[in-house]
Amino acid sequence: MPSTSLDRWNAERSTALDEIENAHAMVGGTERGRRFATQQINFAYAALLSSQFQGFCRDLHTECVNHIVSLAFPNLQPIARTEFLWNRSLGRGNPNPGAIGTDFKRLGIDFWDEVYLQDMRNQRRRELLEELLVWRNAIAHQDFDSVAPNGNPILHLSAVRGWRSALNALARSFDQTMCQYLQSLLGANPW
Amino acid sequence: MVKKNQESSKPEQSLRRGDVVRFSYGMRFVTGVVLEDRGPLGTNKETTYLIEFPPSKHDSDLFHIELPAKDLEKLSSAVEAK
Repeated sequence: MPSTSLDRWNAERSTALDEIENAHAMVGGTERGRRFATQQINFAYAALLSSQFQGFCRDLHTECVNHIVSLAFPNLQPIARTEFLWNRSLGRGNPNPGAIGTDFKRLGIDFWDEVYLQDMRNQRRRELLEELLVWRNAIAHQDFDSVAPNGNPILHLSAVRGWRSALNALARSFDQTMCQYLQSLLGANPW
Repeated sequence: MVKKNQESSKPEQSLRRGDVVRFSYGMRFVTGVVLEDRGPLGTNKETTYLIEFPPSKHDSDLFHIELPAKDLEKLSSAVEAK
């Protein structure tokens, strides 16, 4: 059974991303105009993909904290919750691998090491996440030097689809990694 | 006749951004403001809310906490609080 966070990733978050895909398919018009419009849609798609993945990671972190804290004495629970949330990177910035690792490490797990043990292909998927975030920052700040030093940034739909596929696999691995970790920590399946 | 479990049949309270709530924090109660409905992320899929609150009267810093609806007492709604 997946976590609520993974359910949401596969349902409402996926639906939001599909809507951008549909918008891409529906753009008509002349060849040159269409190319400009689809380029802007691809930029929006990449930015939305990054923010939805950040949302998933933040949800999963919250869900894990809820399970860990539920075993503490009632008076201690709110204090522990505040500590786990204090300075949480996923509440502020991009879902970069360092931020994800740091936030989950505070729950007592060497996060990326365990994620790689789930599937060694996750190393390549992590690189793809980093690639997406470089583009996301370039789009958000309209500064494309990092992705197109020659000044002609072109983002193909196939690239965004590739990132999305990698993040789908990472989301499943994150879910399984934390499920197994919480199971060993708490003695019961969290989800 | 099967007796209904009153606790489980009690509907979960729904809160909105800006609602003022009170909750237990250690050995005392504090007041905070709902910032976000985080969805059904509780251990039994209870709705969880992100709350911002001053940890004491003397603190200017604001703390954040995510709590299930059952741990929150609504003091005033977003509109009343304005």
